[in-house]
Amino acid sequence: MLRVLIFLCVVLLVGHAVSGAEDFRAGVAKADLDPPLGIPMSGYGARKGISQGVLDPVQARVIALSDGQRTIALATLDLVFPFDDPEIQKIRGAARAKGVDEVIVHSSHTHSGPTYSASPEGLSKAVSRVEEAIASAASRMTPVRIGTGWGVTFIGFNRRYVLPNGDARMFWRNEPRISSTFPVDPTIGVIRFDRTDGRPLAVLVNYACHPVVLGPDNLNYSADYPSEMRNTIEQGLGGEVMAFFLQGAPGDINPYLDKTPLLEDAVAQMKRTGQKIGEATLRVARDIQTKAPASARIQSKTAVVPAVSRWDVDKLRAMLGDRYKLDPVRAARLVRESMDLPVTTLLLNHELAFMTMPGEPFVEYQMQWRARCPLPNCYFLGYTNGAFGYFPTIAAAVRGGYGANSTATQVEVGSGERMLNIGLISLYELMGKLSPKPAGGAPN
Amino acid sequence: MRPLALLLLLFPTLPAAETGLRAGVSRIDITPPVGHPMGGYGNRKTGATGTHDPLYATVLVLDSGETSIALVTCDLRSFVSTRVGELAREKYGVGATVISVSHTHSGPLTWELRSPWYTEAEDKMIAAIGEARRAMFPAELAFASGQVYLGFNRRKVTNGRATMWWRNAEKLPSHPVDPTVNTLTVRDASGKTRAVLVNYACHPSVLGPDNLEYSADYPGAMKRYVESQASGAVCLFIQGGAGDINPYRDKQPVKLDGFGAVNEMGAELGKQVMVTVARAKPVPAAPLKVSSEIVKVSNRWHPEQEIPIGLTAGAMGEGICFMAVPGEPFVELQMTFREKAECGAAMLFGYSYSAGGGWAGYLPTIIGAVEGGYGADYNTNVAVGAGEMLIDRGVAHLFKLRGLLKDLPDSRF
Repeated sequence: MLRVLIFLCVVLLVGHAVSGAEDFRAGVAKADLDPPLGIPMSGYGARKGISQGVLDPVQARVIALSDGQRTIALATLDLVFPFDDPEIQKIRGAARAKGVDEVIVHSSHTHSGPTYSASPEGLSKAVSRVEEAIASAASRMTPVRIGTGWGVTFIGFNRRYVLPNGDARMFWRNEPRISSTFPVDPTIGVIRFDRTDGRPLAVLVNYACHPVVLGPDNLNYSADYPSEMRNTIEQGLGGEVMAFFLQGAPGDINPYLDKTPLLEDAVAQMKRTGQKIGEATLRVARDIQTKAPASARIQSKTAVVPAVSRWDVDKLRAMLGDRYKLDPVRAARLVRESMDLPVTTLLLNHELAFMTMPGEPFVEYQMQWRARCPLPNCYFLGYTNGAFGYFPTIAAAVRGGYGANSTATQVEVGSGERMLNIGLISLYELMGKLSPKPAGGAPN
Repeated sequence: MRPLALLLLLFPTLPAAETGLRAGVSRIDITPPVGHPMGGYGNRKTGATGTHDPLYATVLVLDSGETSIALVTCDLRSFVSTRVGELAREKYGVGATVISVSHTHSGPLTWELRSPWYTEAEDKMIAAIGEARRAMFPAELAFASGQVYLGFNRRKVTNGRATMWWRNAEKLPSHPVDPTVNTLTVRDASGKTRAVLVNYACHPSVLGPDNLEYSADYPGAMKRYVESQASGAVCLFIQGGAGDINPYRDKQPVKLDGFGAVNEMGAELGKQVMVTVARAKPVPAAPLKVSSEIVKVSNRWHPEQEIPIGLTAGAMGEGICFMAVPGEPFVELQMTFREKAECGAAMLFGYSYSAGGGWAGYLPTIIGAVEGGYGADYNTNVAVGAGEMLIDRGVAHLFKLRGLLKDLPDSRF
């Protein structure tokens, strides 16, 4: 079999004069996507009913950042996955018309959001609201100071239990909070933006845990625990601050109180989970000393990593109806023979690095990213710019389990490793550490 | 204690016939004529003036019934040929052929030149495969690994930038190095050792550009030592991920007893091989499985160009795994491979051509490419990340060969 690795790269670099501190600006905005009631919700195959109400509004929260020459917007959505590619391109087009050069579309992976394929009108409204929020955030940009901090909290566990024979079994809920699951990453990455007068403008929180405290019996829209996390942070810091949740790589990480039945006070448990990470974040965020960046610079690079299907597509197609009972949307995704996976690397002010994957990466990828990233402040965003199912590590794919060797995995084994490597290579390129020309050196 | 280990203790030597594995070995002299241009150093002015020790192709064929493989291990710097594998299949029914070179820097230029000798060498390799094939015997394998420090990492990294230090006669510590010596012993039905395959990572560049005589460098000396100690056995050497590993006494001038240094290093490695072989454990009998693919990576300096790289992976149950890549992997890649393959014994065969495509040249790690240095940010052509990707592809092949990665999803989830 011939395999092709093409680094199809879109480098978004602009010739750049040295920017001063006052050139680093940020603006925030949020919008209620206001999805229609009475449509199917997303996240659980086992959910029977349609949406009946709103527990907390389904939002888009946008932060726009500018170095004086280039503006980028990070749109975080309370959805199970980002919009499909046509909508993402539409949003980017609208943003460019408003002077925003690039938009990163990220979703929290809440399992209590709408299924937009069931409502074209709802989708159209949501896309417009996101476009408005991006424009609004960009129009409100103001000089900011930036600072970072790191915290730890345990709200989740690794839901794949590896038996002594090497096979994985699923272990969805861990109410007794057995702490010996592995691997788990309790790290909270916190980034604080302050206005020049010191008032906090935005707090970004990067953490990896499925937002699934609310289960399939819940028929009210909710962002799940990230919503309460944001409330906790905003109330704790007071004033006009907006909190953002950036989902990491929780492809194998569930909250201890997974799918809590409504009859067991699921809403309160969801809030408690959000408060726990919110309070852990506040302890860090309060201590962060923000400062103007030494030099403002926004750089990014998106590489497209080609991947073929993990499965024997012909065999699988013939068996979709009986052996695998899948809805048509999931079935169609599963039998794609090849996919282009966008991987974006963002470098802020030469100091903060972000990489994204378009699906559900297992937690080891974010741990490896931080370990291999050459900067002290490195953040990992899953569920970004696309949705191509789970990205298990090679070893996890071998051991099996949900997302590792189930129908929720679409791309070939090794795709996650390749994306991670390419995210890292892009970062080194943005840092100017990989020249496109060979160095001169004495031959052996 | 796991059941498998218990079984091994109870039946330390399974009768060879029950494994279904057959092996054959052969050796042929492939030394080029005097005057042939040499490879390894750019600054040699003339062709070879003579032969210090002959260059051989030493062949091990393994056949477990459905699958067979020929490991053609050569005292050469590099070698690219699809013809050898094609004819081995046609004439002798060999499923897969790996042409592995030790990377001696005192051999001829090969595929770059395509001299008449090159075609003769191909013919001789094919003949040697035929000879090994005709002399097959029921066999069992045993494996052990040991450690010996004979090389150092020639890239000195300071403040994130590498500078080269080619020689380290003082044996100062360096990083990373992998002292692992893998030994695979082939025994016949009577329990007699017929072949010892040695896999170790270090450039065979004890002899420098001043040497104009053909020599297999330290791997040749190691083979002579092992064969003198294990009479009747043939020793084969397969180079590992030596892309950044030099011998302590690199380029020891001939006038300063360069050949003595070669013999000393060969004997040191050979002694460790013998100690290791003495405690080798039988590899549980399992069918040999092999798969290959051509991975295309882009050219690092001309991204619009593709470089096809053929890789071959092979496994015998969970006991033995290997993968072959036709280039010079940095040593961390062999360490990563061993960790990721999750095999009883995982060996990276560097400098090993097998499945079509070209010679990949240096395969640095990503961080190596960033730090720079020889083979890292010059004298390398593959896209950054190609080394990691090849290893991951090989690991995935090995899991598939072992039946641990299915082509359909598990329907329980």
